[in-house]
Formats: sequence, structure tokens, C-alpha cells
Amino acid sequence: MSCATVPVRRETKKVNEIANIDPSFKYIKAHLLDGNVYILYDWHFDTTANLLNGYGSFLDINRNIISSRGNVKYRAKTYIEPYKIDISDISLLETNVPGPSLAGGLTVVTGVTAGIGVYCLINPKACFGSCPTFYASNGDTLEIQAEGFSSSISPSLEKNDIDMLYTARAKNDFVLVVTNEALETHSIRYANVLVFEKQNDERVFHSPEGIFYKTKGILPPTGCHNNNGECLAEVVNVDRIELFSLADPDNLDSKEEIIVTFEVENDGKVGLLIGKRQTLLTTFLMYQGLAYMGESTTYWMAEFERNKITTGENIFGLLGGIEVFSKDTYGNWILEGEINETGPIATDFNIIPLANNQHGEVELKLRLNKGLWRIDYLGLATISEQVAPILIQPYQVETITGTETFPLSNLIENNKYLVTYPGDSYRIKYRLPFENAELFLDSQGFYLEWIRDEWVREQNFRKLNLMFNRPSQYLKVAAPEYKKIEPFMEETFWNSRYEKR
Amino acid sequence: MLNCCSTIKAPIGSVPNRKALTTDAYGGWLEMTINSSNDSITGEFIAANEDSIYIMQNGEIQIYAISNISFARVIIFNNARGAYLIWTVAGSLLTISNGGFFIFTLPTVLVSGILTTVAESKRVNYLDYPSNGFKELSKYARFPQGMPEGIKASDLNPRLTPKR
Repeated sequence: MSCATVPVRRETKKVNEIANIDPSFKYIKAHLLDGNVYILYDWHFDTTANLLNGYGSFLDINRNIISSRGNVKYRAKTYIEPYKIDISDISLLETNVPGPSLAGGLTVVTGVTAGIGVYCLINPKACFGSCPTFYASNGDTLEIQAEGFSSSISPSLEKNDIDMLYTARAKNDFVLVVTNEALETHSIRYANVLVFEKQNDERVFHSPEGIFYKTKGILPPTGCHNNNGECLAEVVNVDRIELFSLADPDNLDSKEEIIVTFEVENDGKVGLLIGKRQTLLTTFLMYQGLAYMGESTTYWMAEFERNKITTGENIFGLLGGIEVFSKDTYGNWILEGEINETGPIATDFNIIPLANNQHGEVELKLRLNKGLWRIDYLGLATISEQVAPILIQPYQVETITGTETFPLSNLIENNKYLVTYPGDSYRIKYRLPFENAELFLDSQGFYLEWIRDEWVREQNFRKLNLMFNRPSQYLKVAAPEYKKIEPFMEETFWNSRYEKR
Repeated sequence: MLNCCSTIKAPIGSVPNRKALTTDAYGGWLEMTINSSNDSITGEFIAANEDSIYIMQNGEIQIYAISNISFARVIIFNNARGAYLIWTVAGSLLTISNGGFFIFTLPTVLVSGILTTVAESKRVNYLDYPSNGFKELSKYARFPQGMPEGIKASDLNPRLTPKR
């Protein structure tokens, strides 16, 4: 007979087992030999001094509060010393797993009913989706910094993903918040931070080949134009004012070009910086594919996992990335590189190093699919050197909302995953060696979409076959339907984020 | 292991709600049956030593030999079934404000509310003896380490409970 819900669990450990206690427990109770008890948070065990340190309350045998110490270091300038308890005074240590709150389900349903229900009923393929979302403080507020492994939509597609934490403020106690804001199950194998020490105006960027370059002296563009005219204002600053075009109404596979110019005074090796994210075209196509699978989605996904589905050209490969060209001495456009990163949530920054040193007016061409990319920033950076990162694993993971009992060990041990469900969020803590540092997120995992009832009604194997085996043709067929919802997708997408309320 | 599969209710105020378990330092609510007299004893679970248990009964500490206890149950927390029920009813009424979407939202809130309330009412919140040993039950005592030396029964006060 199985229990209806995950039960409450209380663990007690003797003091000599203190090192075996998962540090991710938010609270710990230290029962003293004399019957008094400390209830502590922000606690840690000082192995050198044999002290249990933490903030909280000290209670007598009748559980009256003798004293309390709050950790107010983030709100006040006065530092309050934590309790420091000699472990020889401790008889027993207690931790609790209170089990999941069912209220979450009810509030979520209420929230969904009130919010995303309406949006998703109208535009079911515009609902928020795509992979774990990572937030970090920019010094003032938490800001979306990265989305992990967006293209890993099944276990066999698991892969790692490196994202620049462009506006994250590095500090010794660095925190990332990871959330699941979609109707998806996320399995995160690891989420490490890559750290580079830097000086003054230096920045580090990584190329599509995975090479990290230290740069300095970033030049803004002096000119930018595309088929719609001038575009300098959209790309000159990192400000979320983005350059994008709408998809071709007759064919979703249709390319456009952007010409961008820079004035380079000093001769040297340079690279084009691109800050960009995708539009919701790829999200639409992915959801549409699942909708065509309909009630047989599990069958198709299983076939895919077993490598029993072979396709011709890949539909996402056909749409492609952002190709960067420079001019040779004869004025011919030469391909310098291509950036292609799936995901419509977080703006990611990359560098395309140019093969030859540049001087004077430098003209570059970007070739990309119409209606697929939103470019926030273009710049030309002087490359100093290639650099290698220091990899930092998390030392603590706090559950904000979620059911994982040991989130830290799931993130750092081999063959384990931190599994999150809609509305879950975890606070991941790192100890960084430098405060003036460039940070990148190195994450790996995969995620599974939850099939919506609205999708199942669109089951259509003929169109599925077309999408998989003749994607060029399919992108023409699908264009009218996408164009109907394209103007509203971005707003609908961001308004349908799934939160536990 | 906690037993399956339904909730038992302790007197109001005698145990915390589930979320407060991490910060509540009193003992759970103990219900026991005594072998010799078949009497039923209830009160806060204070401590268990190797051969005896301490219970706060009507404001005083009582000590019973474990060998004389035929059955015991420690209730750890009270569930939130009542609150969920009120929530479900209120949420259902609020769907009237959804206009035409009422036909979607009312069934959604009703079904999820009823399922949540039923699931909550089945949440396991107690531990039984002898199916579990007192060593396991004692994790939910005020003093899980056993009765500390030097504490007299008269030193101990009962849990402060709200006035009814």
C-alpha cells in the first residue's frame, strides 16, 4: 500500500556524525546535553574549531526563548555574530523534511486558472517554455542571466551549455537562483560556475568553438543597416532594445542581412561581440511538432530515444544561426564564423574572432534567418589572449520551492540529477575566488515537455512526416499559421510564466 | 517509517502544523494504552529512555515502563484539510468573476481543490508502536536524546496552547 503523499521525515544524528548531515537543510536543531536546544539557520560546521555556527534561537527546556540572533547582514551594517556552539555540548542534531506542500498545487491551479489558463487557451503554442532559467544579482536586483541546455528536449539530447552571466555581480558568496517556470520537467546534471579573474575594463567572452578570449577596449558600431533601414540605436547598447524582423509570410526559411561598421584605430586582433536570443519561432516549431505527435507523443519520443527515427535535413539546422562575414582585400565576403544557440529567454553573448587584423573602417555582414533572432548588442573587442576558467561547484543548495531532498548532492554527484517541476526554484550557492571576475554558467541536463490537451487535438502524422522529412516544404506550409500568432507571441510568452503563488 | 495512510487529529494547539516542524521544539502528541489497566493515556511526548517513557499528562510528568505499554501512537502534526476545503469553496465562488471562462475554471478549481483536500486528509502524520520501536518514536519527543540528566519532573512545563 502506498502513501498518498511524500511523508514527513525527521532525522537525528549523533554529534560525531555531524559531517554527514546534508548542509542544504535550511534549519538544524542542536539538542544540548542539558535539554536546552538551538534552532539554527544559515548554519555551518566549523571542522577546525569543532563549532556549529549559525543564526536562530536558543530555547530552554520549556522551550522559552533565551536569546535570538538574526542574520541581518544584508539589511544592516551592523554585523551580528552567529551562535558558536561547542560540539561537546551537543547531545543530538535534528533535521526535518516536512514534505511537499499540497497547497502549492491548489495555488498553482488558481494562478494558472487566473493567468496562464486564459493566455494558453488563446495561444497554446506561445506559453512559456524552454529549459531551466538562471537568475543572479546584478548588484541591485535578480536578473535573468541564462537558460540552460535549451535544445536538450529528451534524455538522448542531453548536453552541456555554457552561458555568459553578463550582468551578474561577482562576489565571494555568489548565488544563482534556478527556476522552472514552464510546464516541463527539468533534469539538471550539474550547474557549475566558470570564473575568470579580470582587471578594470577587461571582459571575457567565449566563441562558438568553446574558446574563451580576454578582451579590452570594446568599440561600439558606427553604422548599422538592414532591409528595414538604420538599426544602430537597437544594437549599440546592452539595453534590451532589440533588433529583430518578422518572419517571411511565405516561407519561414528565409534569410536576411545586416551590415554593421566599426572604426578601428589600433591594429590588432579583434572579434565581433553579439548579444542575442531567439524569437519564439523555434519554440513554436517544437510545440507544433509535439502537437502533431498528439496522443502518440510518448511512442514517437521513445522511438527517437532508440534512434529509430531517421530524418533528412534538420529543421532547426535549416533555420541556422547567425553567420558573420568580413571582407577580404578584394571586397569579397568571407565567412568568419557562426553562432547558433537555442533559446528565447536569456540574451547570451558570444565572440566571433576575425581571422585577420583589422584597421580603419571595418565592415561586417551578418546573415540570419528572418524572424528568428533578436539582437540586443553588437560590438568589436580587442582580443588580448585566450584564457582558461576556474571551475567552481556549488557548496550549498537551498530549496525555495521544490521537493528534492538532497538538491546539492544531486547537482554534484555523478549520475544524479536535480529534478525540478513547474514552479520549483532553488538557490545555488558558490564560493568564488575573485570578486572582480567574469562569470559563466556551465550546465548540463535535459528537459521534458508536458503535453497539453490543446496540442493533442492537433495530432497529424502526415504533417509530422513533412516536418521531419521535408522541412523545407514544411516551413512554407507552416508560415501562414505562424504569422497569425507571431505579433502576440512574445508578450503572451512572458505573461504565461508558471509561478507558484 | 510513518504508517499509511490517513491523518489522525491531535487536540488543537498540541502539535504544530507540518511546515512548522522544522522550528518547533516541543514533543508530539502521544496516545498510549497501558497493558495492566487498559487505560488510555494522552499528552505531550517528553522523552523515551531504554525502558521507560515520559509523558506530560494534564500538566504533570508521568513515567511509564515500556514493557507495560501495549500500544502507542505519536501524532506529529495536524494537517490543513479544513483550510484547503475553505480555499476550494472560496476559489470556486471566485471563478464567477472569470466571465465566459467560468466553464473552464470552475471545474478546474473544483477538481484540484477536492483532490488536494482529499490528499491532505490522507497525509500520514503519526507513528505507531509496536509497529515501530520507541527509538524511532522518540525522534518526535521534546528531548529526542532521552531525558537529560539533572532535569526534575517539576522543572518541566506543558506546551503553551492557544485559549479556546
